[in-house]
Amino acid sequence: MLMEQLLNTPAKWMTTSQDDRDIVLTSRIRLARNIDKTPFPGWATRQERAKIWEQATDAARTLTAMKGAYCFELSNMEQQNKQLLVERHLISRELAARGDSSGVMISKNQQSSIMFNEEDHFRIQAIYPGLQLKRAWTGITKIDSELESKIPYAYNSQLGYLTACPSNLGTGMRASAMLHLPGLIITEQMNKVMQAAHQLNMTIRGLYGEGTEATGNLVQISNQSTLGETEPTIIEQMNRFISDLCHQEWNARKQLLKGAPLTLKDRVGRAFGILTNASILPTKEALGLISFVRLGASLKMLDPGLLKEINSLILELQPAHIQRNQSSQPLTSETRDILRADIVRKYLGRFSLTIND
Amino acid sequence: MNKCEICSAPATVYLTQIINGKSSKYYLCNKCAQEKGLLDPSAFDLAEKIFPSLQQSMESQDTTQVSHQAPPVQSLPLTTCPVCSFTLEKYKNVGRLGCSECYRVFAEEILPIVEQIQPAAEHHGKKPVHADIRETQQKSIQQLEQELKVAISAENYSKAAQLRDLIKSLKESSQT
Ligand SMILES: [Zn+2]
Ligand SMILES: [Zn+2]
Repeated sequence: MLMEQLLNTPAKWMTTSQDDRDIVLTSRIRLARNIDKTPFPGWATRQERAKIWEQATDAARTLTAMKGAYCFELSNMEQQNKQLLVERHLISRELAARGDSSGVMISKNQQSSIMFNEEDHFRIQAIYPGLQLKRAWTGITKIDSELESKIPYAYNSQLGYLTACPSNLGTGMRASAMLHLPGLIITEQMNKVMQAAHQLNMTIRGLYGEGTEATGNLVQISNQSTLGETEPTIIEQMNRFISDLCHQEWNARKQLLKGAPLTLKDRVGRAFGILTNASILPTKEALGLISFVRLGASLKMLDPGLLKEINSLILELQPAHIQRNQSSQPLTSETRDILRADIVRKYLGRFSLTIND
Repeated sequence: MNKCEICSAPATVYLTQIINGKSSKYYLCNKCAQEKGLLDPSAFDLAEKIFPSLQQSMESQDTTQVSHQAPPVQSLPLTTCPVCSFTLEKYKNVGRLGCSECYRVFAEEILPIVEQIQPAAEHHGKKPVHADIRETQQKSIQQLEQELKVAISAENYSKAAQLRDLIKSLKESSQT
């Protein structure tokens, strides 16, 4: 029942846009924390993991941010619901693959969550819409400090917070932002961007699918290293880099509009045409075309109003979300493609093409 | 009397590992030591053969425990973590450590890896208030124990007694 309630009310940060130019979708910070002198989840025995779950959730339940929070243990969850939480970025794929005594606590407003017995005993997470890394840090450090007054953290002054994997030592912090970059990708400037990111110790990955391929022109930028610099320094560097990137992305879009208005108009119009008329729509194709529609709307070639809930549309197109609204029978991917086309038609059908000014 | 670092029962086994001249000490009860496979007699033989001097130095240190019944001291080099039984071979397979203590036990092998994957080797970020206090206390206890050793070897017994009381009270307060 609690799960139903959670799933019926997607978080605000997930569905509403905070960025008029539709560039930064969300900002997220994740902290890895562990209990001192206690086996890490991957090495702990079943009984030890059960004890950790007990101790960790007892402490987390008393946190101010977790008043009235949802709490789920994975072994009690249906496969389908795990997948839904992954698609909503509330739990990681790694957590979903674990079993006994692993789970998640999600705050009522779904802005913060804590995963238990993932790779580390605690993975605290805070997500905000738009570019709000600083605010995410302010929020998450408060939760972290409060938790530390209840849990003896694994820490030493040389290596900082001690984590199961040495790549998270130090701050244990991974800050990331999800960006929509059609302008830079179409104008083939991503190599330059990747190089700059690499120099600043940041990584850029495609959001869906593997490797560097950016399906739907969506990418995730995150800090690569965790040891040596303070959290505010890392966040400030990322903030500056991302703000800069937003500027460049906007310039690229304007350049497209100015340099090849007819080509751009044609591609936005075609994308809109396919999306509002297709009967079979695979995920990858849908995301690619939606990117053009977003691009057009941000440049006011299409009703900018459609951007408001476009992020919740993207969510609804993911496999587990499509399955959720159907009977309990598992759908084939062909059936999902048909249902996906219906959802997109319904959403975009409310808007009209205003390309010919 | 020292407590077992795993289950807090009275410690009867005392382990030492020396890395770059710094020694880390562990107190374990018989039961935990057995469970962790640290009481294998052949391992002790080996340890004694390899570290006869270590054995001696620990025996002389043992005489500092005047007022308590001296724990029967045994020693061996650590190839497994006394807290979680992790071994370095496993790290090579999974790329993750067993517990926070493993970073201390396997420091010599892990630190070079950390330096490879991280741009720096020293944390400058957030300090957890409580863990930081705990660490400072532990450090000052270690320092006082060092002073105690000096006082005893200088046969300054009144100072040694004072230091011993101080160490004892610090240890008790850090355990609560
Ligand atoms: Zn014990
Ligand atoms: Zn260990």
